[in-house]
Amino acid sequence: MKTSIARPAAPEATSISASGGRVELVDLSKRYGNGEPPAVDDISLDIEPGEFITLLGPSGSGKTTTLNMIVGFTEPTSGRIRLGGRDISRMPPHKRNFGMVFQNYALFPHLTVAQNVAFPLRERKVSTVETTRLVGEALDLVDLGGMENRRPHELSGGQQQRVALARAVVFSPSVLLLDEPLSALDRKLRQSLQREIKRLHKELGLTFVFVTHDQDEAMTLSDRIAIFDRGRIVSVGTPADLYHRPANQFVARFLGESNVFAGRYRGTDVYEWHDRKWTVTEQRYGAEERALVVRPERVGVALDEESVPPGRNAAPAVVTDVSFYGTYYRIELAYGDGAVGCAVLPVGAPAAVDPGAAVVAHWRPEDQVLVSE
Amino acid sequence: MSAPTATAGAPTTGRPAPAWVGRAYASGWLLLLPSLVALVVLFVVPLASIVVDSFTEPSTGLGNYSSLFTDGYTIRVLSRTLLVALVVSVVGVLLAYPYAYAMTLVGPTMRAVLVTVVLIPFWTSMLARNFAWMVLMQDGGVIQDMLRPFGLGDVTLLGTTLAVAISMTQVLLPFLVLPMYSAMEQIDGRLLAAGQSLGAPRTRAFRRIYLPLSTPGVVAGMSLVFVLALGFYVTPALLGSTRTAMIAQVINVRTKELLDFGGAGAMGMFLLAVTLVVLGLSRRVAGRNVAAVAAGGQPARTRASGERSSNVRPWLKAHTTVVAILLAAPTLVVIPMSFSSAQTFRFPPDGWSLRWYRELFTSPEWIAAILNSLQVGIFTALFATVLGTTAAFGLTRLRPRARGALNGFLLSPMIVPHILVALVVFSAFLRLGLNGTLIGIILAHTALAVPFVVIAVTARLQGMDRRLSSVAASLGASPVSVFRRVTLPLVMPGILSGAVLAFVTSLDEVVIALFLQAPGAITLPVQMFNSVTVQIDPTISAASSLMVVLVSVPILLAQVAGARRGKGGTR
Repeated sequence: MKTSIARPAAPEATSISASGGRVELVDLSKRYGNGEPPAVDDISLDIEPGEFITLLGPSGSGKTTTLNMIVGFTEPTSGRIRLGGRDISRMPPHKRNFGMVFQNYALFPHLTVAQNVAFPLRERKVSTVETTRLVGEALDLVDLGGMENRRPHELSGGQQQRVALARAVVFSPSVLLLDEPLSALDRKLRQSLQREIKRLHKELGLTFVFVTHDQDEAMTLSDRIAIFDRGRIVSVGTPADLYHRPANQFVARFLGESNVFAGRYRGTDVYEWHDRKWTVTEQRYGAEERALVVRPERVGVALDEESVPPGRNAAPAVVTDVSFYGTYYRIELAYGDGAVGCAVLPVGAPAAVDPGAAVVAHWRPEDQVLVSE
Repeated sequence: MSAPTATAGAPTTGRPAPAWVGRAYASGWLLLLPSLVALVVLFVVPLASIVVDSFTEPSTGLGNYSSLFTDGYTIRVLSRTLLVALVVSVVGVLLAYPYAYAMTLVGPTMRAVLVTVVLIPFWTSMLARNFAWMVLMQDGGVIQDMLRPFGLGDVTLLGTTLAVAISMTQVLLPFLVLPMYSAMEQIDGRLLAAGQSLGAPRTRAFRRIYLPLSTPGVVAGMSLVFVLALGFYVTPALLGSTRTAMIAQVINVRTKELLDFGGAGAMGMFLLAVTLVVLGLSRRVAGRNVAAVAAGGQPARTRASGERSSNVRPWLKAHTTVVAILLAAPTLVVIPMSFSSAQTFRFPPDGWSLRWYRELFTSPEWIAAILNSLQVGIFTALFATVLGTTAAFGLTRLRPRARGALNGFLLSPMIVPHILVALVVFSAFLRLGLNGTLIGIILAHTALAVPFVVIAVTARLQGMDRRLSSVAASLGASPVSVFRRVTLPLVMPGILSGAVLAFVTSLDEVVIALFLQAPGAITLPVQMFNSVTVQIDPTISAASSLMVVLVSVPILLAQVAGARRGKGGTR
């Protein structure tokens, strides 16, 4: 048995687990044609061992291409991929020892559940006894004990995806890659599998690279999120960081909802928006920062200028829609210059506004962020 | 929407293809090479040389073509052929349309019965069916007996164009029912209800909604049958006479007896031209309507089955029964006939015995024919499966445009009339000294059978989730291992059914085998053909029954195997 494969099945009791691998993407690019814009444009990213990182972006932003380059299905045009310091850019996928979970499960329809999970072990010439044990363990891990002899088509979508997960971790890979694994499932199943994935991450200690276009999924699951736009990584950070301190307009608009004002930053402490002059408390902004962003839950709604609390920045708006969400109201606002935004008010807040009402939106200067285009 | 239960889904996004694709184009061409070479050598070059002959033999010019439209005898044959083909396809549509419609209305059990009845003719060899019609139509036969009360007892059927047309209609009926049924399956039954709710009476709703939506199936079936009828050889040769000859018979005489490849070639080219025009037109017409059906949404299946059978009106039931009997009749004649004790083709038999089976399995001629057929069938299946499978794998690796063109090229032997293939192969093999050899027949059958394998394997490959090979690679499988453990098992049902189709096609093929026959190279269908035309030998009925078994057993086995293996294999 050759051990170019990361680690032969270990004899201890909890044998499915491994130390996560460090993955480094260095100046990675992928071009498909000379005329077309690159699918992935010179990205660099350090993925810590054991980290749960999500590649988030709209479709066509390059996140899946990046994932395919990591796993080896797509060859990078330039740049390098390193695993634990070793360059693996040109290594064929079957030698990389990465687990991968696909959107539509991609179980082998001609094999039973147990045979599916045993597939990577057979490729690694693991003994029959050991295989049986590991398969049982992996299926227990995803709560599918007793399903060994079912065929994939006899399982529900959620069960199939659990089998796919078991199959992707049973050989103790150093990294688990997940390509939109939950998008084919309905809402409820999605949530339960999200929990499952989070638990797996904690129990196995693997490095998880998760691709999704669903921001909520990204926020709840990840240690860090890398946001993709048109082939580039536009921002990397923890979910809270990205939400509260978006680095640019794209992040602000893509991750959660925002009120975005296109005004001008005037020197030290004044932001000009039409005839308004707003206070800026933080001094770390440069000249290129243009837009001012406020998150909806930070926005208050007053019925007129007089009732705006002192010290707050205020912008006149017209209410275009009010919807009730049980725990909160969401109020859609149209600002004078055509910009739209929204405010989220807790149920019980006094402001009883109807669509059409002229109101004043206001917020504390500390809650605003100035971002680049 | 219910949660998808099958694992396979067509690749959902237009994501860029994986890296190996670039390298794959080259290997795709490499995989296609054997079948392309085979097709060019066996088919294209001989066809081209016949085209050349048709302009140069016996003298250079358009003489052969102009005589098609000036020679009185040829004109009569041509117009008779076109007329018969037209009548057969029109009458066929009138018979098949209500039958196919009834198939969409009845419950699942009845539908299974009706489908089986349609498939029975496919399982009964071509020659057996024509032989059955000979028995039924002979002087003093069942049909004459039935007509006698009407004062028509002395009407001679055998040898007339009418007999040929009736038999051809029956033989070709499945080709009409099946495409119509598949088109009707796609029609949402609620559309008729919607039409009625909008104020159209039932019949008008049918005419204005259902009829136009089912047109693609009608056009597809009708043009296919028209084209097949044009080049029909066996039925007119057995049930007609030289006085009522159709074009295929004339081609046969010119090729084999007169060695007039130029004249025969011109006729063949005319046949091919008509075929291509008809199929081209039908594709355009059907293609236009297919879009409309696709936009029509859900298939008819969504309706509750309880309400279905009530829709089958008495006249439709009667019609369906008659057509079902017509479809099954030849098979129902052939099998009892084989147990007859008489020396004649009398039906129903006066007494019973196994003497014709004894004859079949003891006469050296028949045994040789059976062994030859099995040998030809097995080797054809082997060659065609290898060539067709590698070609199908190659096709999937090509760029879409090249793939479409090459696929069309590989399937081209299917649309060329068999009589023309026979002529082409005969003239080519004559020069190569392959006439009258089994290897010649095997090669010609291989060219005919490759398309079936290509279709079966391609369908399987396309139904397969392409990401399964990616996932296998990510789980540590090397390319060889991916092929052996994932791709091959998943495609195997397609390969097997392709092999079975190739075997059955070869087993049942008469025209080419007739052209290439020689004392040492007589296949079972040829021996059967000769046994009714050259001598009157009732052993043919036992041989026909044996053919039913030889053809249906592999098909059934393949279906059982396919059902077991294919469970959830593709969608």
